[in-house]
Amino acid sequence: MYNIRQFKPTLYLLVTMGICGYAMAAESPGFFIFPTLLILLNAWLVKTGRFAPMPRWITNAGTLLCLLWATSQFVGARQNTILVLGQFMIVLQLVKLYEQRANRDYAQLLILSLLLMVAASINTASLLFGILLIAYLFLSLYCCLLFHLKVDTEHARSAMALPESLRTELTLRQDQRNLTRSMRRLTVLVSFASIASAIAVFLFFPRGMGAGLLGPLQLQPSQALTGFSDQVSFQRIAAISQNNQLVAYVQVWKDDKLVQGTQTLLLRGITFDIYNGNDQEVGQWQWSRSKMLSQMTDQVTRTTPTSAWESSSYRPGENVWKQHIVLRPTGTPALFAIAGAYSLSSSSELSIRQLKADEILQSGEPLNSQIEYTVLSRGYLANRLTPSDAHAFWQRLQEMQFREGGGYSPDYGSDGRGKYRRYSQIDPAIAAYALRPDVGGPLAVKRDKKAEVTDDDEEIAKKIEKHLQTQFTYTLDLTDSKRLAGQDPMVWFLSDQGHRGHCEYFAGAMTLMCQSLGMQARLVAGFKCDEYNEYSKQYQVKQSHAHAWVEVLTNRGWLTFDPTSGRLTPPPNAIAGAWQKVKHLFNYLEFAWANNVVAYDNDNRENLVANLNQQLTHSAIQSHNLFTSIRDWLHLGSEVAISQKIMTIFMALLVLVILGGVLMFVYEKWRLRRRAARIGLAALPPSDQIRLARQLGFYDDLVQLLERHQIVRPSHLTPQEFSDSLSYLPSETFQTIGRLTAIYYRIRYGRQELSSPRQRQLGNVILRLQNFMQSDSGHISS
Amino acid sequence: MATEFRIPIDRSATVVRRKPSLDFSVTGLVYCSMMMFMGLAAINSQANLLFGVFGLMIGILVISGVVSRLVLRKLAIRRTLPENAEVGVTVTFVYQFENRKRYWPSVSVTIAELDGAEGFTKQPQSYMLHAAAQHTASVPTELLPKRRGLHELDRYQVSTSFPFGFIKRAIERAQKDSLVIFPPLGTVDRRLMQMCKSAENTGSMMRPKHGGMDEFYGVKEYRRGENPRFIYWRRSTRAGALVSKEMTQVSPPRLVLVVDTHLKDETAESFSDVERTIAMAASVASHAIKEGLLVGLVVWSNEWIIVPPDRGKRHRVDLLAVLARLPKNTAHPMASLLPQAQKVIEDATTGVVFTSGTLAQSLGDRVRSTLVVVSSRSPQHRAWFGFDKDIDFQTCMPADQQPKLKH
Repeated sequence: MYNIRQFKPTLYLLVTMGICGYAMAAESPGFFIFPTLLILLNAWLVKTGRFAPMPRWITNAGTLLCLLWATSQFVGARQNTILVLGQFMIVLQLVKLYEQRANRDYAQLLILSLLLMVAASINTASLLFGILLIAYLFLSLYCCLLFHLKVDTEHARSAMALPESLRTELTLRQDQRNLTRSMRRLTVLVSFASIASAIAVFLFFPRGMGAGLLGPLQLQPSQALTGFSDQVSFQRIAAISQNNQLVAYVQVWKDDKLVQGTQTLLLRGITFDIYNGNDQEVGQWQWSRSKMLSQMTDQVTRTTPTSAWESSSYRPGENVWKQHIVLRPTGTPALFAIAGAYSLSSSSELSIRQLKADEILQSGEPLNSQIEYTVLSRGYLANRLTPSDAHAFWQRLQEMQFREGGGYSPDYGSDGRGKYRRYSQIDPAIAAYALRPDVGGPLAVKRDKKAEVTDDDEEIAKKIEKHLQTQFTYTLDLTDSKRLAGQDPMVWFLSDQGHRGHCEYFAGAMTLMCQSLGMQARLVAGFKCDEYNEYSKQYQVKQSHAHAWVEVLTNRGWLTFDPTSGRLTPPPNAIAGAWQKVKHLFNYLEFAWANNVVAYDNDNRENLVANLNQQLTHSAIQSHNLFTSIRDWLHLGSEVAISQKIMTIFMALLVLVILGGVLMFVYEKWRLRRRAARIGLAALPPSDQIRLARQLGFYDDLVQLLERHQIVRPSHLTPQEFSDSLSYLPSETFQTIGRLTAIYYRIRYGRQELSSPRQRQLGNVILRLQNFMQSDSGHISS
Repeated sequence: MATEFRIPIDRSATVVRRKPSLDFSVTGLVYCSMMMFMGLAAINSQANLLFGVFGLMIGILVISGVVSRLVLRKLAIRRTLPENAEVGVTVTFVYQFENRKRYWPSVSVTIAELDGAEGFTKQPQSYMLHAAAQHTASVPTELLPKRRGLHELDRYQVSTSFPFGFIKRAIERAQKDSLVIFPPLGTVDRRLMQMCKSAENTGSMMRPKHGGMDEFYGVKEYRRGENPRFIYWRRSTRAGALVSKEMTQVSPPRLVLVVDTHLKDETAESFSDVERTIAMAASVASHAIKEGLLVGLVVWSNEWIIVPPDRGKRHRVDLLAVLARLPKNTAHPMASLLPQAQKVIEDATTGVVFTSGTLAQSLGDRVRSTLVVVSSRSPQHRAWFGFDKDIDFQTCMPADQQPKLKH
């Protein structure tokens, strides 16, 4: 009987793939390595015949222990439910593998493996996992087919009437001709139908309804959050920089021309204008936003696919930077864009607001799902505050920077309110550093601290920027830094022991130095990206691209300064190496996967349905229009005479063609029936007669040829006997007739079929035979 | 006082399972539950991949129904039976599965007989793994007959649960066939055969007749085409024409088997004895014919069956067929059987009486008669026959004659 030898290797492979998928989802290689080793060991034991199933009490005890552990993990340590479930299922599978006895165990293994992949699907959305899932599903189909065959054959074996010892080999053998081909066909059919159904459900099943049906038991997928946050702390930057997780895909056009990696993108996220210094009440050594920044906002607008947000700050003639951004969940409300955003539209409903003071864009709620939006920017920051608002803002900012109490005593003097201390806690050392000749220069020294903006502000800022770029070193690793406890990191950075750090140090130092000189400056956190993917024609913004820079208000408005130095980034339009290209291709595929599969939502579904509806309607309308135009053309007035004649001829031709076709069909059928009668097929059913008559036409021709030479087949002789009786004919003729008769038998009784080329070939053979017989007709007739 | 109540179980009946035309298996129900769970998980978590998996599972279920129907379409089945069978001896049925589909194979198809199954130890079933498109697969199936008689096979059921075992589909068809199952044939002791041969005491056992190659019988005119070796040259010269010798052939002994199938009572033991009697008679008939004896038969089978002694394979089959189809006999005891037997037991014919009882003969009868009596109740007589130990004489009669058996 057929030994389903492929089943076990397929099953083991399936189980391994399931565990691999789960390890991918949990991002933990340990989940893959250890169980795989155990699986391989089990496979070796089974293959070498050394395997013995574990006693039931051990497996039961093991399962119980595992269950207790899983419960403790879930209840006590409050780990991710799916992760715990997945680990539990892996252990169960291993237990089943070492306990395998009967088909029931294999079935349970299949189910556990599938559930594991389901758990992994909830937990991850990466492209690699998607590819693995598709391969897994195909393999599981095949494995299930084999499993069914195995079960059926074993069941049939046990249902045999004779005991095993009495059965002969003959009854255990099965017809396996073309079995591989048959299984392939069936697998393709099943796969095709299943995939079609999967795609149909995926595309058309309504989304959104029933979400959270199970309430507290809901297994939410873990959010893919970036490291970007509303607070900037120095240690977090290092973690973000080392992480290559994709944050966004950005396509940029400048004045309707696609920017293909020739520009470095600076995407503004959020700004900070207050440094807390040593103030532990609000957060030590942290940057934050003053309340005024957040208060001066536009009205919250709800954008939809058909209505965008627009501000009035755009002036015709200016450059237009159009960005199409696909932003992954960040967990913050920040909407990234190039400076000077004045219009935003989104593919789904989104509530947004723009803060007038610093022109950053924010959504109404933190972004916990992927969104897609298009922003139009000027490329530079406009001062959207009116002069009076700007002055009031500056004044309030100055006031906020002072409060009663001790602390530093900047040289602001008293204006009747008493002595003030800077709220922002700018260390005097920083102010002193800014006044150095090699830093701010003489312009900084003579700058009036009470002035909002001076003509020299831009120059001063440039000098500070250049000083930091040239005299300081960029590094992410500050583990060896010897900073005194309680020391301001900014002071340390500027001191002789420091002089190195990452972008926030640079940007923070420059911002504080500018502020200490009375200039309006703010720290901007966002992304600086120059990684362009030529396949997707997009910039790929990763977490490692997170960056901080400075904006300073000058008499030309808010200008951008990037004091960070020494960062090893390739030039924007550098030609990517082969490996880089492969990475870009993979990133593009990942983007396509994330965008079209993972992020497929109700809006996409409705769009698809609407598009299909539209296309069907369009096709129907086109057909209707075509029909109407034909009808109108037929009803035309003055051309009636001519067109009637033409139509009449056309209709007549059509009728003739149809009639001719029918007659041809009837004649053909009659001809074939006659041929069948001549050949001796009259006793067969009509369908077989027609079929065989078509196939055996050559034999009919042969018989007719022989009849023309007065060689008639007697009715009591079979074709073979008749062929044998023609031995008096020339040997070539006799052999040809013999061969043709053999072919006749193969078709008539052997169910072979002649292809068209073969039929033509036989026709040629008969033609040659005819010529030969004609030339040799004297010999034959005698 | 509690009494033990036992439900009587008829252990002789062959279990015949008839599947519904469309049914969900346990696997299918588990699969449907899993599919529902998957749908719920997808709706709850809104994970797009899970929607895909859910759709895949729906597709698999739908295609299971389609493929199972496809497998049974255009599948012609022909059953080929042997001419006859014997209780306790394996018989092979051949099922030919002709797949007339142009493109699709038929895989994992089971055929089970619904009629005529009672003649066998288990319901006749056959399993075909695979028949490619436009191919015919022959599947031999070995069965063990357990009841003698004429068994009519008609309806059978073709079923499959391919591809995944979720949906079981079965269709019923019919093809009339019949099979005669002979009674069990055991070995016969040589002493009994000797007794049967030597019981004839008229002295004319070795009746010579011409046509053989044994001893000189006479002369006859030589005809063209005869063996020239037998030309009697000396006589030919005297006669002036070619003459040839005629030789004798030994006329084999003649046996008439007289089978008493009368049931004294309807106990299981009586039935068993009668069956053993029939089996003994069949065994002797088979062996005797194989040894070249002429064998006849006298038995009651709804009428008196008297088969004159003859020999040959065909005759052997005829005798065994008669013995196979013997009905229950409660009305015609030995007393009515013997006179019938006397009509065929002539000179030089040995009568062998098979009975489940005893035949009382006087000394004179024993001297005068040529009857050999074999009783199925006699341990000595039983020892003359060697039947397969697995044969159960309590269950090898036709099903309609089966008494109720209890544990």
